Amino acid sequence: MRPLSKFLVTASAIALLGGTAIAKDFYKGKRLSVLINYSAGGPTDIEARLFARNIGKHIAGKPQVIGKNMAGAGGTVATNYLGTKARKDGFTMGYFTALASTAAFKPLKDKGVRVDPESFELIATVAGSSYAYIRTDVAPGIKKPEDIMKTKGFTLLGLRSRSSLDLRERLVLDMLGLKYKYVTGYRGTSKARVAVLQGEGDYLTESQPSFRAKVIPTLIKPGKAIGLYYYPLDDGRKIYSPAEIGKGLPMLPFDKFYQKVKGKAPSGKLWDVFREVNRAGSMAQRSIILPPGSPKAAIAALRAAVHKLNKDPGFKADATKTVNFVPLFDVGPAAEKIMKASIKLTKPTLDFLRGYIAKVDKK
Amino acid sequence: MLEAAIIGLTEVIAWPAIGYLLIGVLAGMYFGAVPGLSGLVGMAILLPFTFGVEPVAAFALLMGMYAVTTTSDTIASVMLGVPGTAGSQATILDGYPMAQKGEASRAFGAAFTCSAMGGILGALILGLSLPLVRPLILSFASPEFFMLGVLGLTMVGTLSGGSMIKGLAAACLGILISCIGFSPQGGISRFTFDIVYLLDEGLPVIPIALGLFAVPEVVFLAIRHSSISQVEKSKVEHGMLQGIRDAFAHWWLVLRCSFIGMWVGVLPGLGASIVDWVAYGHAVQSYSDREKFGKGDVRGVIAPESANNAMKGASLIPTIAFGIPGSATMAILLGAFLIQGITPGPSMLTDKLHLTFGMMWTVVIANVIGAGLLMMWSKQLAKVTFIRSELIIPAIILFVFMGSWMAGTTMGDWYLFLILGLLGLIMRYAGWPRAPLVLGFVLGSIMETALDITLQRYTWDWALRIPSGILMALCVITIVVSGLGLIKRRRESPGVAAGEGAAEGREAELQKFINLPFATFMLVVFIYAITQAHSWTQEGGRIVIAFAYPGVLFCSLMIFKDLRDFLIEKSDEFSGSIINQYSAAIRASKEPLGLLRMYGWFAGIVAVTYITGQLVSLPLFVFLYLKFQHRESWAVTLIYTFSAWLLLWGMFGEIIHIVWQPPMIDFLPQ
Repeated sequence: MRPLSKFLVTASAIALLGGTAIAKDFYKGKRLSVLINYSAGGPTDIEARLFARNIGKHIAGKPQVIGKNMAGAGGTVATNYLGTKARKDGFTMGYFTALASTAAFKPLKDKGVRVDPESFELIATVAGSSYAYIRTDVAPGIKKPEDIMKTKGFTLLGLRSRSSLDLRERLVLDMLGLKYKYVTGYRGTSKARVAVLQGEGDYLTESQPSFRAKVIPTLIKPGKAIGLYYYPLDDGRKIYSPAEIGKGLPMLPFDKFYQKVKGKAPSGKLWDVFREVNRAGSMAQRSIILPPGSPKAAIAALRAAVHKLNKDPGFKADATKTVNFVPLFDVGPAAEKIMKASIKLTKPTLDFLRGYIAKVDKK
Repeated sequence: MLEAAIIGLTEVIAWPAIGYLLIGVLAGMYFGAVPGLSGLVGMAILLPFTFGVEPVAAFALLMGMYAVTTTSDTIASVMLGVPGTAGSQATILDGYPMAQKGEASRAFGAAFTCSAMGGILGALILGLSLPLVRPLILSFASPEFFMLGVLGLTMVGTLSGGSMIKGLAAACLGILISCIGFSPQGGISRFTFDIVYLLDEGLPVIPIALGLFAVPEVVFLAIRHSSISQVEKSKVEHGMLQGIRDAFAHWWLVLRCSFIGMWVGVLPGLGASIVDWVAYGHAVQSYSDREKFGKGDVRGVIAPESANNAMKGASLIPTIAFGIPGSATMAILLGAFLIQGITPGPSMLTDKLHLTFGMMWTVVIANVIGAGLLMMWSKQLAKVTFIRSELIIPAIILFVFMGSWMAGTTMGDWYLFLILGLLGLIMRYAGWPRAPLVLGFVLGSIMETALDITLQRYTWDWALRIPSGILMALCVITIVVSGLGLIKRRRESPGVAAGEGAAEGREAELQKFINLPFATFMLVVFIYAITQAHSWTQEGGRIVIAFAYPGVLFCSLMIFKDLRDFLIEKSDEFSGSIINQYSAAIRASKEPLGLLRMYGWFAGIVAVTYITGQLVSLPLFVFLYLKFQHRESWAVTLIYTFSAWLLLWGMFGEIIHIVWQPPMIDFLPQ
């Protein structure tokens, strides 16, 4: 464990132990609602419900925990609800996707966020990587990840020109100097995955749960596609790739892959922009939050519970079975630090991205 | 394959799987019958009960529930004119008029029989055509989805009822409504007016369908002060047995629509919202006496009900074979696979084929049990149509409000529902058919995304792809056959009005008065859309421009025709100036007052909900409506009000765990 993380974990543990005494009876005999900002059945919902069914036993007072979906406007409807309408009594919390990236990308696409995402009481964050794959029949044929460098052109698929997914896809391919045709506008990665299956597109990036549970059995095992690399995590000072995110996969993190095929570490403007965009999209991929101004006892009780959840073998087994990996929670001060580093893009990056997006948006 | 089919069957009928299946069927009947709940909610609620259960039993529970929601959803469609789920929207068009004729039992008999037949046939046809499924799914890419959308739009002609021009304008309006929100590329926010609710990639279909169809029926029911059935119980001629006979007599239609349902189900992304419209449109197109549709023709019930059940088994295939869930419901089922340690993929059609067949058999058995149970109860259910409207209306309003709320659990869903309700009312008065609007809305987003990707990926060479060519030919054939049929009918019976929006006599005169200002308003809407679209990027504005210009043309034609009728062919009954004609028409009608009163109640529900949340506002409405609007007895009022509260608290609060509107008053539950 890195020294900074060790310090933050220790500090969190001390803070949590102190808070536990106050928080002991806060949830006794109560019900805690977990608000999910995407619809039922999606990756956020599956992960949030996994969290909801395992967290209750770790919260002092053992409350009943239930999941509730509130989808809409890319998660913004629920964000606004939790920030402005929900009672600040500690009995409604959010398990949200893309809270940090929505805030970071706000200057580019104004998604209508009516609440300062930093004002929420942050319980924990979950980092999540994304995994790139390509069809094996792209000329001259791809047998191992490095073969992508031999290609003369392929079709890259995306969701929206302003999305974090599309921007990161384009940035890494441009860094590698590859030629590709960019096709975007799919309504969700599952629709884009169908297009890869049909040969309408060749290259796509998906989140860890989807890659492991859907892409590997339907595309990679039958030999239709091959995994290329995954995005590393980045706390703003250092790039790192925990063993869990690449576990069992014959793939490298992108920085190592770049080094392997280019013979040098990635650098330059594209790399700097990628790091910021990737940080916003991956470091706080999920955020566990309470409404601003919620009781301190609730915050302490929930932080203590998530801390215990990280070590719960039952949760690990359930997670492995449900989503094929174990979400690791950064709790309390550690999460706050991550959120702070992920929630804003710098002005030079925003300026660069406006031009980069304009290149593909036709008038 | 036969061996796998037999193994699959024996696994499903063994204990405890069959017990789970029965529980699933009972749950599914409830989730289908209550508007707004649907299989999606049922799947989310039942999923936790499968943890720790062995796979065959777990899927028997989930699939048993899922299979029958489109059987029991007929109840609300027929009895109340309210779609029970997105798959039974088209059933309203003939099912509700049948209930008004006192033939609810007959509609149920036909619907439940062909639901079972459709479910069984769909699963069997699918089982036989499994080898074709993989190449079919792989060959239907974006160009083919665009062409499917175009083919779907050719149904507008058959759904237009009394006026083709009004139907076409309604379809254009539906497509415009489908464009509200971010364009597929996400860069352009279209017609959102900075309202957060609209800042999404499309509006939900359920509040739109409930508003368009349910609100006008509730208003008319309140104005009429009668039961849903306008025929006395003693004078009803056709019962449930006749409905069952109807289903068997039209076996060829059942088979064709089952086929349609199956193929719509196999293609991921089309889904339940369009399958019933496609089947209904097909039924209207296939008969020469199509003027009977929309007025309570049993074939208009048979077609959608066969197709929406046949779709169920088929929609499993992309989910299990490719890991591609075609809908949110299938996405939850996919989650269940993963929890059970079953990996989706081609092996589900080879090594694990018995599991796939097991699920198919579950669908077949569930359809038989579900239809059988519903038939046993249908006589009792049909009695609801003979209860006086004062007692029915509070329940309908409670269900449609909660059904709309379920779409996104925000007040935006209610505003959408009420605005579309008003639009539905005006459209009904103006003789605009509502079905093409829903069809345009559902197809709009499918077509836009598919066209956008097609033009980026293929340029124009996509037209040379074989499946696209076949679909294009089908479109041309459909248009030509429909056009020739229309000309023939006009020649043979020029004065006969048909279908939804069709009116005769005084009602037809009234339509002209309402249509002129409405068409003018819609003309302004289309022009506004065009001016906006020209300021967007090419991708963002393409589909708006493509359908708003024809919208302008159709509205202009209507305005021209109505003005000509006013100024040149003055009717005998409404002579004098246009203003005098309007006031005469309004005086002759009781509707404006009834409409205002009902919208007053709706506004009251919304306002009180902001203060107290739904757990108080909706039971309070039931109480006030029964006690003060209709002077019901205290016993009836209190029992009814308590039942309403119990349903909200128990079903929606404690079982479904929905998010309520937070009350402003602190001590009230949130």
